[in-house]
Amino acid sequence: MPTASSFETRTVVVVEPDVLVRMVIAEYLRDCGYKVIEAAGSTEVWAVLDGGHAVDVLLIEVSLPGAENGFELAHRIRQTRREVDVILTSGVAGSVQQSHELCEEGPIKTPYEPKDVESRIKILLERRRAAKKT
Amino acid sequence: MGPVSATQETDEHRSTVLLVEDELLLRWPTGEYLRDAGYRVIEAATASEAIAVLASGTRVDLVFSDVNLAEEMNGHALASWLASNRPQIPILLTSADRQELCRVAVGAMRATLSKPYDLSAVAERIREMLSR
Repeated sequence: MPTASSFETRTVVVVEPDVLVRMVIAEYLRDCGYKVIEAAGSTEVWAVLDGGHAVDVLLIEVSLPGAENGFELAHRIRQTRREVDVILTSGVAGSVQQSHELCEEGPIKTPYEPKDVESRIKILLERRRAAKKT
Repeated sequence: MGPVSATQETDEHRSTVLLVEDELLLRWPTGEYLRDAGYRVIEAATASEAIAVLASGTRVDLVFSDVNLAEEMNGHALASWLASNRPQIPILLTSADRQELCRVAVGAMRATLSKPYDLSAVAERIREMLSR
């Protein structure tokens, strides 16, 4: 078991195209004690990796727009960056569940309930839907 | 409708900065610096992401945006949207192009900062604007 101090500089890249989901997941992981880099798509991920920044974990939403979807991105990273853990997620519930599991391993144990994280995202998405109708 | 927050109490005491920058390798260190300075920071890669955040009812105290953004809507357009829809939220606009910054009608709710910037200067300007 790694000690808490070894997690202090652990960096997670959250790869999620929807800003409202990304914002809440990133904040949750920061509150769990991780350093978080927020990427909207695969181009941003490669900017980080090719820039030589130390990354420990990538949390990748499978449905990414653009030339490379989440599966393809994960595959290419697993082939070229074996030292990085890649976790694929699908949908809001999946992202929350995987973030919660990372939190459990992190330096700060679950600062608030994952169901609160999920409901916060749902409220934001619902407000956006409502705002579009008006 | 009031702002939503996670259950964290401390969110209520921290000012929230919405950082709009399409260049991740600049957005990320700027965000981290401001977080270390005590702000809650929401990152947006485009003006449309910024508007999605603002329209979702999430609390934002100040917007810090690049003028030159990759998509169709730039920082000037975002400032106009803010003036029409969230006139109580101040915006700090940045650009490497001084001509672009000269076009900004600077006032109580709108200020400029040229690029490249020192992160400490960003934090100082934000602190000044929020204390008005």
